[in-house]
Amino acid sequence: MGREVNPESVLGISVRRFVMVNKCIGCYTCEEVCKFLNDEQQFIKLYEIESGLSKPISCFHCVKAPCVTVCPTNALIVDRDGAVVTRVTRCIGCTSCIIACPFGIPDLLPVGHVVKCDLCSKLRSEGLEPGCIAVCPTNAILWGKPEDITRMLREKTLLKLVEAYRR
Amino acid sequence: MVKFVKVLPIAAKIGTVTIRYPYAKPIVTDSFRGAIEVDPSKCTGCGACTRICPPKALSLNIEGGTAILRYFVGRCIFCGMCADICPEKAIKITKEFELASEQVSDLYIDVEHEVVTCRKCGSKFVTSKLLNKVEQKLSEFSKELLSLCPRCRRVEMLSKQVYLR
Ligand code: SF4
Ligand code: SF4
Ligand code: SF4
Ligand code: SF4
Ligand code: SF4
Repeated sequence: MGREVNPESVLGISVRRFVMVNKCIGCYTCEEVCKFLNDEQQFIKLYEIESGLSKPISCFHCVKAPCVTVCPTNALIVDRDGAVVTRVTRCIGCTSCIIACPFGIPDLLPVGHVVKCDLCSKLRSEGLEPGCIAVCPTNAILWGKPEDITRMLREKTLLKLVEAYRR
Repeated sequence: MVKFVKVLPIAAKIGTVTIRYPYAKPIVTDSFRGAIEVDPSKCTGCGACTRICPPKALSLNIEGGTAILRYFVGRCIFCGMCADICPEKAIKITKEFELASEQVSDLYIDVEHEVVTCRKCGSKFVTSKLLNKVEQKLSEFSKELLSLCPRCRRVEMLSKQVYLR
């Protein structure tokens, strides 16, 4: 039975997007849909933690994002929904954000600027959910205010407990 | 013909305008752009200049245990974009244009940087100067993660999440 987890206690930083790795079944759907939406680039990517066990990681959209703090050109900004997005035309490719991100998330493209998950800005502007979140078959990806994420995690843990009790 | 005659008194008044180059110092305007100069004390080896440089006169490569920022004057088009973009203001545009040499090695100028090795996979992923700079900007930062390359940080974080429960 999964203990109740608060993302901050695991990651050491308060975040707006979180993958419940215990719910994730490693199906790669999120990675594929991200590739489809972003011209073959994967902003959510699975890594093999041990043989046969792969889990996804993507930008956590940190509340006090280290990448935003270090960017010398303000190319990285926090948008209206709290997502951390790159303004590529301002990026000079200094790689500071890559070094600053505790999770090594931003990627440098050969053309000389950085890219990362923007929580599907385009879909959100049309009132839709980010791709990975919408397609995940186990609803393992959460996003919202840090308080909301903690609340959702708590509810999910409780629900599991109730189910276990019923059996 | 008459028009030309008009020029003569003007020429007489102004005198010779050409200089005895190369014996006299050439006149260069304020906006003239010559070769660039990288200040090794300011440069962090971030490589931003190498990414903007249109003819790729600047390059950043890791050779052995050092990162080398190399300026090849032979390719430079003196556009000054590197100086504009450098976040450390480490690049100066000089007025130097007499750059020909018999030795090709004179056309290369290197700035060397120490690099950091990822404690897990051993890849050399950043100069220690850039890492220190980033560290200084972030007060609360996990030293443990800093010594990992970006890929190892991802895997490390996932393992931490997975094995926590
Ligand atoms: S790129 Fe890294 S530091 Fe920046 S918001 Fe995403 S997870 Fe946080
Ligand atoms: S690489 Fe681009 S986005 Fe990242 S810190 Fe440098 S300028 Fe900012
Ligand atoms: S879609 Fe959901 S279950 Fe599948 S790999 Fe991604 S997070 Fe895991
Ligand atoms: S952009 Fe400036 S600091 Fe970065 S490598 Fe070039 S000269 Fe050095
Ligand atoms: S002046 Fe232009 S061409 Fe010359 S090194 Fe700088 S960016 Fe490259």
